[in-house]
Amino acid sequence: MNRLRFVLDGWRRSLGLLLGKRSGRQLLGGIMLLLLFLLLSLVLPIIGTMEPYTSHRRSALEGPSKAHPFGTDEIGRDMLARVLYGSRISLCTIVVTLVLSVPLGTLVGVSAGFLGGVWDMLIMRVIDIWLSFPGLIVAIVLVVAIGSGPMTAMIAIGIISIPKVVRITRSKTLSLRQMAFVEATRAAGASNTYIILRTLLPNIMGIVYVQMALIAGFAVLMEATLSFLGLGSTPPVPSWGSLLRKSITYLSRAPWYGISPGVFLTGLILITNMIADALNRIYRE
Amino acid sequence: MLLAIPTLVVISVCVFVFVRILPGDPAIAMAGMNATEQQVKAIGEKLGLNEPIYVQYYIWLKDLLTGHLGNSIKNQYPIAQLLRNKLPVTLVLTGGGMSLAIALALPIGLAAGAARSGIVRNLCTVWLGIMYAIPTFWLGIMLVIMFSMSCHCLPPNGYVAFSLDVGKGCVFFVLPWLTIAVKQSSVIGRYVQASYLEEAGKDYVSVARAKGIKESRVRMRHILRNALIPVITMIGLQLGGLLAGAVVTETIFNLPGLGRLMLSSLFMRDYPVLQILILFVGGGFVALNFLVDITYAIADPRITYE
Repeated sequence: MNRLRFVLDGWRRSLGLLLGKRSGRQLLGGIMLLLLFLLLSLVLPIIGTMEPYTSHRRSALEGPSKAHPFGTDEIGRDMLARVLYGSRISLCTIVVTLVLSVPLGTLVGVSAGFLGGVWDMLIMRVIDIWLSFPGLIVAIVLVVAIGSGPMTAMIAIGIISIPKVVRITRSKTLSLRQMAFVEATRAAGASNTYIILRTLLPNIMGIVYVQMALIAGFAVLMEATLSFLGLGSTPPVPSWGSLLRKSITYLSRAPWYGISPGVFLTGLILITNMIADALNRIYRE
Repeated sequence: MLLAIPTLVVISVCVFVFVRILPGDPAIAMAGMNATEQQVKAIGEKLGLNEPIYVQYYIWLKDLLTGHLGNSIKNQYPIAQLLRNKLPVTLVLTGGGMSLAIALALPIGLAAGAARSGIVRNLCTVWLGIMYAIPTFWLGIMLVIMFSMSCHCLPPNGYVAFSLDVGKGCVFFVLPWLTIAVKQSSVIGRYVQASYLEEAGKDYVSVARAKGIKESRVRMRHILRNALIPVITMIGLQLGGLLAGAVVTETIFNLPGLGRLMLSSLFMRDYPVLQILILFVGGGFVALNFLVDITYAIADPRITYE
């Protein structure tokens, strides 16, 4: 019991510290909004009477009404349901991208920065050449190479995010390696593995978190872009990008069609940017 | 600096191998559904697809360096001609959009960083933040809804060649330019803001103020001049990304540029066209970086290259 109180007390104090600063409040607000998104996309479709796949051909392309707050699409499916379901693809993309890019990128970046020499030079050459192609082009070619679909789009986005992580973790490792406390750990007889895992990593995680938030926003944007170009999610599964792609066809008859997916898409990116910004300020201090 | 050339060579190898890995055989695609195996083979022979890949690469590179870009597999159209037709559209699109973006980004970014009134600073920061988050294609759709669907003052999409009618050609470019400008100005503007604030906090600024130099002069001559140097890099990088982003802008507005050509040749498995296009974008990126380095040295006398 005492131990529990101790832990709770610690949490309360760190929460107080976090809330005491503007960046902390911004971070918590962003995380709250993100959780709201998660809740909307996971819970609402289960408990509500959402029908993203049922079409009512008689009520095709209807404007916003009480029954359909966001209107209906070209075969009379409820847009609200489709937009809410669309957030699943985006959130899923975030998870897949982060899982693919962050551990691998950190490993490569830290090892390149720490070991230096040929390994470092090799890695950096590869990254330089890789980054001399714009990410969007690499993603498009990758998706076509593996075969277009929602999963391949996510994998492609994960792959093009790797160099971002490598670059940032490598440069941080390089600057940390010179620090006295790393030297001291080495002088105390610690092995390389120990230094990397226990001394360097905890100090690198800050910028990795910032990078994760940035990559999350990038992933959402990329998925939507690929779907918009017709390379991401396949019908009938709704994704914000493919909804926007469709909306272009009906722009003159149903202008509202393109509004709701875009608002949600921009909202989610805005939230991730907000979190990244707050994290950045917290870790810089 | 000399790294540009090996980088280009490696890029060309990557492009070549990458494009070959794509599934689907162009010979089958060309021969049609009912072709016999022999016909497919004959076409493959003609295109040189049956040679080992390094021989194919050697032939391709030799042709490329001697200015023979080859023909499109799809319709036998010479690629050089294709580039000549499509490149101006993309260049006008990105060039016009970027110029507008810079014209917008500098005042907004500076206002967000340096305006005397807090309200203006906050408004500009919020504006930049929102525009930064908006995906280009949704911004384009919203602009079309606003300017074409609601007030019917601009065409939603389409294209008229400048050689036919300059005025009409420009009208079709207004919305694409605006889309790029608003989006890119937020990216550059945020950078201008951050860079300005960083410079404003440095010691030499305090020194300049302590010497009694007028505030406006400190801001314009001391802070701004130094703050704009990293912005040059930023603009160069964005310009390279914009070449790739043309895929999206051209899709929204139905412009017949390189981006749409790339997308269509990707779906058609038109290897020769695709290789040249990707190489072109990659090469453009490298060339831009090179140019950025040079402008850097001109803008900042402290930087010299051996």
